[in-house]
Amino acid sequence: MRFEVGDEGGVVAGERAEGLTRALLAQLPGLRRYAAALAGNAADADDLVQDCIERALARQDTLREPESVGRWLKVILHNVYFSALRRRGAPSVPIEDFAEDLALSVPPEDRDRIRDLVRAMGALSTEHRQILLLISLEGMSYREIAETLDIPIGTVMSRLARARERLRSALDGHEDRALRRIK
Amino acid sequence: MSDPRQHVTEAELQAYFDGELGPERWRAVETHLAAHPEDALRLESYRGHDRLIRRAYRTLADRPISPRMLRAVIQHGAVDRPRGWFWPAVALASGILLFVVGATSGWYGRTLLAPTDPRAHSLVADAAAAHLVYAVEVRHPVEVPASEEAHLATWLGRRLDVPLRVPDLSESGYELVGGRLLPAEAGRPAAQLMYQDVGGRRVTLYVRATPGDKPTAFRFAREGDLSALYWEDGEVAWVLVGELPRAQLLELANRVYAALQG
Repeated sequence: MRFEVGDEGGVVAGERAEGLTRALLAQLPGLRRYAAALAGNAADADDLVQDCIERALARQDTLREPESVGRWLKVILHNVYFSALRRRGAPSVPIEDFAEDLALSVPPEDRDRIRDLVRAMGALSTEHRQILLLISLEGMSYREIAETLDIPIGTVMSRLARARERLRSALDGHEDRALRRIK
Repeated sequence: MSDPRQHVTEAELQAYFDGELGPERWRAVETHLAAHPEDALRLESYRGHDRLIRRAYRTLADRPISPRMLRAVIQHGAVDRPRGWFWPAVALASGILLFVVGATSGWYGRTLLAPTDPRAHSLVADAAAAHLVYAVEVRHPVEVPASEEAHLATWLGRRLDVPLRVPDLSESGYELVGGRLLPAEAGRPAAQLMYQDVGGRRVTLYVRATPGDKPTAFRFAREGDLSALYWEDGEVAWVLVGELPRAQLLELANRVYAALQG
């Protein structure tokens, strides 16, 4: 540890807030957003992110490329999320509360659509919700999604097609006509 | 569809929609969409849902991050364990700013302060972490922008339960970007004011109420590029954080201090 004497009356030792720590802090807002959207509420998401960070820091050596820290964190977050789902099952907060919470962050005239979207996303399978969030919210490419989920690109595309049709069916009331074609 | 090259698969439609289709197939897909308006409408509908998803969840990234979570990042980073070879900076990274009695020079005997002041320690660590989170934010660095400065002071002051002034640092070349409320210990919130110079370099001023305490001198913490100056004025604790040399940060701190007295 390096010590440094403060001229202004106190004495301080600082340690470096760089590298991974800094990268993690910069990722936090986006990671929490993604976790909340995936889990369907903010309280569970914060537990997930907390666990995710602890695991990430305990396994720093599994990060191959510093520039892919965002994807690396998502892989860890997914592991944490799926094991929490197995352990605990349902979210601790009803999706209705999350829908209301998010609806209040937009102007009144848009609230119904946001509520419907949040409910519909909550009703999707976890895999469908996950892939829609990765592409639409996170803006990831097919290749990045394939690497993050460790699945072939062909599976990314077919899963995405199904997820989009399920969401459309829930929101627009269409039948899943296209689903028959996706095989 | 006699020509198999004209047949467009669902995967190609998705890839076209996502900008992942090779240009050699654009024309085939566009021809298909012109001939199948129901598919064109379907993609249009996906487009709307895409936007809706971004809109619905966007504000989640702006919500304040709890000190517990910030500490998980900065304190666990300090745990000594074998490191990977690929990121040498990590070997130095612990990320927490510590107040410790100086072990160098003659300060040891002169310093009558408690060797560690837990409250100062946690304040500076929280302020530094909040700086590292929000100073890099391009889109939503603040909750309330500088254009609503009067509202900002009132709003933050009310939430912190202290009269709050927003110091003017423009003479030092730093313009107010705005401010945000942060959660803190024991339900007492903190606030962060952000300033930026013409080069886009940001400093943040972290503010938390500390009722009933005596004013203190400036205390300095630094590691790497990040410096922090900490002081209390009796009602409020202030931490000025920036990636600046100490002399510059001190000049800014003096200006903040003068503005608050004025």
